[in-house]
Amino acid sequence: METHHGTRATAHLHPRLPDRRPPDVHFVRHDRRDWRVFYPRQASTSITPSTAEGSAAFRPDRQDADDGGHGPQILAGPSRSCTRITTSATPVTFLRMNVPPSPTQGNTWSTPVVETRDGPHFCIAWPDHEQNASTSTVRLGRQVSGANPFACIAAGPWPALWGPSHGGANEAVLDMLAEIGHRR
Amino acid sequence: MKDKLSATKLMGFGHRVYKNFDPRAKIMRDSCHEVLKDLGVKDPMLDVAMELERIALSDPYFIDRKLYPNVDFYSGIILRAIGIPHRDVSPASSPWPAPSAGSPNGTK
Repeated sequence: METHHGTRATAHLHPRLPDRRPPDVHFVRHDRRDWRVFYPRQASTSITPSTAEGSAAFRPDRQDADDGGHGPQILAGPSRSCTRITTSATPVTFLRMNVPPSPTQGNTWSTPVVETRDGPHFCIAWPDHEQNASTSTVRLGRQVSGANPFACIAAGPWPALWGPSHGGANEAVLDMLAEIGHRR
Repeated sequence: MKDKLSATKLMGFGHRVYKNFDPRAKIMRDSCHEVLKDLGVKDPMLDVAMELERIALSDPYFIDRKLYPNVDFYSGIILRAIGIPHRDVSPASSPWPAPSAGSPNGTK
């Protein structure tokens, strides 16, 4: 996995806590002892830290090759597309980091999911539309308590989206399809 | 969608706000078809889904009631096609290894 050095400021996550506000997140790493967030000095554009944090929360099993496999490491990147698409970079990168490679595509990523000819439609139409329920939940948690970013990010996909009234609706579709069954 | 004479609910059709059609659903429909074609997914459940989609877009019962396949219908299919685990999937059948001890999700 390439290292991506450009990340966006995290000020939007906790604007009321200036003493705790890091300028940028470089990458998020977990070793056997604790969770850590590393912040570089230079800020660039394009990838929000919540991508890496969210991905780390979602896939804590990912091994860190640079660390002798001692713990998972999630880098903010890589994606050529992410350097030019800012607003949709978060779910795109998230998907790139989390979706297993497609065996039918020679172990490349499932590109139509993250990118079509005109942009990552799926990412905009489904997970990333402005101040939605999960985004609000993550920001609220971080602002009111200043808690560990992993805990805050985890509040997005699970309590806010999991239920049948929201993101869980597509899971209910799969339940229905399973109930309908199919011909052997 | 609910049928007043039956307890059965059909999930993934129509929308309580987008009464006629959801513009996102059209985008998701294109994405969904592209993903299935590109990945060459062979999944009987998704065959059922595609047949349901065809019926919903052509059967007068669905058309008259504005029961078009919605965003949840297509996103569910896409997520299944790309291997995002369903909540009922046991760890053994997951495409990813289970969290190890010492990780946030592991038992310590």
